[in-house]
Amino acid sequence: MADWQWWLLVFDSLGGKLYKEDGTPNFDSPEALAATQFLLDMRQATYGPAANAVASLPAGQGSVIDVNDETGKDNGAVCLAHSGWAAPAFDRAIWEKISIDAFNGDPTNFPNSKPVVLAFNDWLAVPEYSQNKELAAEWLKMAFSKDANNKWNETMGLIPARNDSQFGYVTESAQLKREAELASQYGVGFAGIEESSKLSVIMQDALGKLITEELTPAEVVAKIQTDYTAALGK
Amino acid sequence: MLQNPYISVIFNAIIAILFIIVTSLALATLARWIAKLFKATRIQQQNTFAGYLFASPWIVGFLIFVVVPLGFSLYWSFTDFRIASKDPIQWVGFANYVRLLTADSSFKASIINTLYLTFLGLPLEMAVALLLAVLLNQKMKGERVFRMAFYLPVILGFNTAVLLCWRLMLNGGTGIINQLIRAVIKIIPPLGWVERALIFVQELFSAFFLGISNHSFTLFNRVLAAGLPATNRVPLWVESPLWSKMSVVLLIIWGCGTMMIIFLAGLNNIPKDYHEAAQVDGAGPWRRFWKISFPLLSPYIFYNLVVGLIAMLQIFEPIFVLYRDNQPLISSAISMVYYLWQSTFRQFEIGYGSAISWLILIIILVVTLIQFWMQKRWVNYDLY
Repeated sequence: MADWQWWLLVFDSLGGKLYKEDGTPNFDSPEALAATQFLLDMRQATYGPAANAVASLPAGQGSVIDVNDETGKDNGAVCLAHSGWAAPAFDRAIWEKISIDAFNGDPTNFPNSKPVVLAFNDWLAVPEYSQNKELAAEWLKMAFSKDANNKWNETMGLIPARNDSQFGYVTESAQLKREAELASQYGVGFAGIEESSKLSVIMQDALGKLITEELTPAEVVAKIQTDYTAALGK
Repeated sequence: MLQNPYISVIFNAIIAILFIIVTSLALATLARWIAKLFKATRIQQQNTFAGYLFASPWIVGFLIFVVVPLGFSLYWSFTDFRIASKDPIQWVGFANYVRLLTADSSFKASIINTLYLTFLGLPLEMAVALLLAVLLNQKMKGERVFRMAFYLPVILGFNTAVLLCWRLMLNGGTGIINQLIRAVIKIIPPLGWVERALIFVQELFSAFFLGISNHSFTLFNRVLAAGLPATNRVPLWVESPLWSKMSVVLLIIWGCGTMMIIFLAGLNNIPKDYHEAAQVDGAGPWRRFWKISFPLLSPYIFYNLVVGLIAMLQIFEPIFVLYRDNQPLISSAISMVYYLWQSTFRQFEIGYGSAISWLILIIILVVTLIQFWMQKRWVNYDLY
């Protein structure tokens, strides 16, 4: 919930564009503010305000959606961003109460909203200065081959980005199978992000301040806009 | 042959040794030649050769590993050198420095964090070191065991294993530090009020600094409005931005052993006659400490202050180990050197990172010069 990739997913579902027509960042848009507010609301609905923390402040990765076996207390269902990451075990009874859907944005307030599902592995690329570009490219081809992509994602409990890699553990689980179907239909990845390593640091920094309540959502997007614009030299 | 990594290592080691021998001989020969130019006697020339031959491995190392990188770093600080960039390196003049001083809010935040750690952590560290030194200066049973115990953190150092232990100990819910706090309050309930008051003051103080860093006092107002924390509240050492810097301060205090040893040496150097004479005049231990020991310890305090301040302005390891993977908190604890590491080795901006390192050097230099200038007013060298 303080993750910049989650933020990008919500932003995308609201129809947000990362850059304006003149190439400057678009973090001062209503979609950006709404995405930020949504992440904060979701976090507070799950964990309560940070200021109320007594002994620990949850890191905010994953979701609290299971029933406590000892007390029987239902923690209530919240959004699960994607795949089986941080989710209850797939054989838990709680899954009967959970529906798996694409992220639908907010069509009422943002007409360009669209259903999206986060579908990516990791951001891998061959740098320009690499001494063995061809070898590195070969390795990437191997890593993202049909079978390797399936195996790689199985170890992490994720949905493979390749449609033809969605077999085995994906189809054996009703939950992952459903997610894979949605991913095939609505999957989005991230591409064309300028200075992505800088943007990740800037966003993680600002979103961290959001969940610790150091900054309000409006201050967060303003900070990202300022810092990212400076990082791009615009 | 060099495809084998083991042979490659041995080969490189041999090359390195040969290089050291050859450069040392060359440097010593050069020194002898210069001595000859200055019409030194044959014995003097031989002595010069021998002296430089023994010193030259260090000199060569210094040139290669310090002087040359320094030169490169200074040059790069005026360029836009980025490892991941395919464009050739461009000379940008003072642009990196201007950006750092005028546009980079994260660097400013890192300076504020470092100043917080310095101006809160260093005085506390010195005070605890002095207190321990005074206590250990008393003749008592098991004195050496206590000395060893208090110096042990210096030997253990700020290495990753030790810092990871600290991370476990500082855990808000299960860490031993909070368990101890809870236990003490359970035994003596009125201390709960003291604890809550301390938490409130600390959080308010910390929120104020965070407000300066963030240009937003949202959290400060929230803490102020919330008032005294709940009865079951404990410090959120590694869970809240309000405590992230205080955890580092705690670690700094824990590592006060070196300062303690220096203070101990200083206390041992004070002639006993002074204390005996004051005792005859009716001065108690408290008065003797402030009127005799403390003024005569001022050179040692000055030394610890200079060395401590330089170390504090370069603080990195505790922050790296405690918070590197704790994304929501890292920005509240990030120091100048951490920011330097982040820019240079995370974003591969070598030019910008070099500019940060030179700016840190200038800050340290200015602070140290101010200290030397001010020491004339308060350091007492009467005894030395």
